Amino acid sequence: MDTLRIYFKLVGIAVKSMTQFRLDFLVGVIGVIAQNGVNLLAIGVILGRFHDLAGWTVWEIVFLYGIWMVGNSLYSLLFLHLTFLDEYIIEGTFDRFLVRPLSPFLQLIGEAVNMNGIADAIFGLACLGLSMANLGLALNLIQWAYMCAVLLCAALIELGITLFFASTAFWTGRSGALINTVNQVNWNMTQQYPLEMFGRGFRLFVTCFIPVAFLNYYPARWLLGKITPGDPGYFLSFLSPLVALLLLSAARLVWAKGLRQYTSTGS
Amino acid sequence: MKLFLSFTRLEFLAASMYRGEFWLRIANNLVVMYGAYWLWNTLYDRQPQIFTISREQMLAYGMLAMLMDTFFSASNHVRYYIMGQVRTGAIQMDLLRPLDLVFHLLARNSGQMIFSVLTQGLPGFLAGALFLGLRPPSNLQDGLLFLLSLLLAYLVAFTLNFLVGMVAVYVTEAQRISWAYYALLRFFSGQAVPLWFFPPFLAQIAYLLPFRCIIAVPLSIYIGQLSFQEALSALGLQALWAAALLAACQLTWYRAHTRLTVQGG
Repeated sequence: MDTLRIYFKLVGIAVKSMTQFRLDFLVGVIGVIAQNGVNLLAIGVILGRFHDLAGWTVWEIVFLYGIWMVGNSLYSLLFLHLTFLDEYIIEGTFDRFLVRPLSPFLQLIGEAVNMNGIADAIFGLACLGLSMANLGLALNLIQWAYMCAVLLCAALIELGITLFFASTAFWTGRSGALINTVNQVNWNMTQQYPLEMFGRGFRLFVTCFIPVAFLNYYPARWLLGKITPGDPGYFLSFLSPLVALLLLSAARLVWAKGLRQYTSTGS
Repeated sequence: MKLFLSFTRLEFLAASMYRGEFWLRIANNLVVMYGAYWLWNTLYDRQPQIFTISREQMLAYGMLAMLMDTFFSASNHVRYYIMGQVRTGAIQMDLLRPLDLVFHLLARNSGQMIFSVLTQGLPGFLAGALFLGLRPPSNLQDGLLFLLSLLLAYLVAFTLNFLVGMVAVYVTEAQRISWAYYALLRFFSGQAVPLWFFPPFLAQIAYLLPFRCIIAVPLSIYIGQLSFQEALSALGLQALWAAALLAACQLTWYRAHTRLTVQGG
């Protein structure tokens, strides 16, 4: 309980230091709208010509995007700065986490918040709301509950993936390129395109190796009623929580192992 | 020019320090090219009549648009450099140098750029040709015009990045502006979707913006969509944008002298 209290205190401080830059927050909101608006526009242009992508219509893809985005907003609000673990290590600022009597992990995640996550969340919820209204999607109680769980799991899966790969910086000193590759797969492909579009090899890759398909694709497929019991891969719709759990445990192991053999860059 | 080249060389050497990243970046390029390959192949299977060009041309466009992004991202360093300098206050050093900042950064960035072309552009191209059926331009003339166009495209990318970086002088923490810029670039350059798919209204906006000089213009030349005359006027357009944007860079940097807040300085 003490740990949580300290964590929230750290986050509170980070929020305070962010609110110094009011104008930046406003600019950030405009940035979020531009960024995601343009992404959706690109899909819109393609769909305007082709009507649907592998059987997914405009609003179904907006729904897919919305699920991804809300989950991602939570992740980016609290954990985005883990991506830059290698910079903490290279610059030697990581060392100060080690001399304080508090878990280095807690200090790292409490180090910063990314207020733009709030704007992301608003945009993502708008996507979800609009798409559900336009599709006339009526979810039952279980589906609602599962959708909420999935949004949380999506954030945790992203945290797991980032932590896992960022921790490699303990050995290599640099993990930027590795995380970048993973993000390319995540952001450019699974976020906005239904996986049916891609080949078997790629689907296997984002299911088994870097499981970003569980962020949005598998659960969304079920929530939209695009898959029925008995279809191959039906069970995959419900694995997101398990995947989140497995990933976090794996990431935790790598983090702990890396930390144990960490030697400062000495600068 | 000698000074220019010495900066270029230094930055080239600095970029080659991290050998481990080499393979990752190649993997990265292959992943995005593979994505484009599937996307356009699937769409071409569906409705070939929508495309006014052949499947090979479309695939070359789609894959190269992705590949070009990865090596053009070298010019992102300019943006990050300026933002970083403003954030840490080290920008005062740039004010002190007896060197024009635009010149200085262009020299350094050219080094990173050449490095990216050699270590990412070429291997990516070869891998695409080997595994994904990427074809070279159909004739030598198109190929040479493409290379020229690529050079001008780089200048436009560089200057735009410089200008976005300069926004940091006004808002201090400009990360999100930088992302928004990237998103606009992706869309209006014709990278995510070729411009000829755009509805008229969006196409008009795209034609007024400089972004298409970065991806759409060089690639239209590459796939042989433009006649010789059209290609020349496209190159002229790129050159005009590059010149205008370079002038804008100089002007902004000059004006920034009066606006600059040096943090912790």
